[in-house]
Amino acid sequence: MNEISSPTRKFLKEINAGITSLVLLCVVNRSDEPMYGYQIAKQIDFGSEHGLSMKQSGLYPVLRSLEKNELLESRVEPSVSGPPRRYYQITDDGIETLEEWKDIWHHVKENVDAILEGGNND
Amino acid sequence: MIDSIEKYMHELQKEMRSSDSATRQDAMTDAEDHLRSAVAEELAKNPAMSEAEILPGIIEEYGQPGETAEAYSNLDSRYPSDGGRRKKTAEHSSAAGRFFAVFSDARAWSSLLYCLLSLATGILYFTWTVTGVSVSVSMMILIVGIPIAMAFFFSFHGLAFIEGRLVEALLGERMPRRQRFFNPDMSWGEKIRRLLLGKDTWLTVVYQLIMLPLGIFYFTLAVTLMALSLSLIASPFVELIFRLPAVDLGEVYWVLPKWTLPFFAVLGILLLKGTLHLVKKIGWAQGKLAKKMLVSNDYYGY
Repeated sequence: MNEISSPTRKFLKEINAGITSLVLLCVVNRSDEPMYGYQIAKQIDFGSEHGLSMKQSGLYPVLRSLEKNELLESRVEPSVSGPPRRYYQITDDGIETLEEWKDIWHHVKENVDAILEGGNND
Repeated sequence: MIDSIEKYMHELQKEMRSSDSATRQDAMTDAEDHLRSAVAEELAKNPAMSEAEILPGIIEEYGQPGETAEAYSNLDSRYPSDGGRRKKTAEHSSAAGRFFAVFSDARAWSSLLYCLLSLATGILYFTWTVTGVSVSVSMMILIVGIPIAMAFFFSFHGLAFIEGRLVEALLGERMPRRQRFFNPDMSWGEKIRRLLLGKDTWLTVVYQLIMLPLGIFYFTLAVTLMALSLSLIASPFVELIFRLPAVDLGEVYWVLPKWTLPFFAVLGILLLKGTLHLVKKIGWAQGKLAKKMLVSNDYYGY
């Protein structure tokens, strides 16, 4: 991960921007119980070759924006280890949106694969 | 080399010095919660290791202070405080469009709502604060005085947080979205001292006290100007359709000459426009005031 050229870094950053929201929504949806940031971060593979190439701290602002758009809801509970913890849970709106996003993702993925594998995209 | 969470927090605070103070507060709460959770878990797995040995690996995954600061500033510009729902006033090309622009400006109307609400919230904050401070001070001679005072002072910060949410929703000034907390390593005596005597607490108290006169002023101003301008706009209809006089004092009444009626209506529209501009300005100033007084620049410490 140390030897990334600057165009590649820019590409990764742009590609991550949308995927992060999708991945977060999906992880929170899969859990039966509300989750806090660190729990969510542990479920996601970061920095490795096939994982999201970003730092964990990048998740938190995305969680907040998902909440702002009412796809997630949260409540705060006191914690023994430090600051009060924010627990996130998906909303009905969020579940619906996630289905939509999954469709979009599959669609885009197929199209991009078809183009990358050459020619047969018409 | 960062070998303690404390140090990380200081570095992060330094990195985010130029960012919005509310974003900084959010970023620091998130970082501290994450790092403490991660350290606690790693220590449970490897009891022989120390925090200083574990932390570098955790920070490597979480992001260096600079990277964290960048993540927050990137996202904050992409998702502004109003969620992008409130579009900037559309660019009007025609003169009439420009003239009426403020009427379609959601911020002006939400500021008006804030002015109307501020009487109620001002009374609430003032009453609660005066009760809290006087009960706390008079109970200080008893041993139960300290816990009672602490409960009241915590509630002041709770009220300030709610006011912050209101200010962000209606006035658009970015305010903290997470509540603050104490540094867990701080001694209890220090926590109590900061809560009862800290600068932030007393700024909050002063804010909640001045919200009463300010609330009365905003409310009176908004109601008076709205009533006056709406009645001026309505005057032609009242006189021509309902045949009611402009001024009715029982025995005496005045009817305005018909030719003046359009002028009064136009005057009303101008006054309404002025009122909206004024409440928007007030909202802007109030947002700045709330941010100055309710958002701390010092991360730790009530």
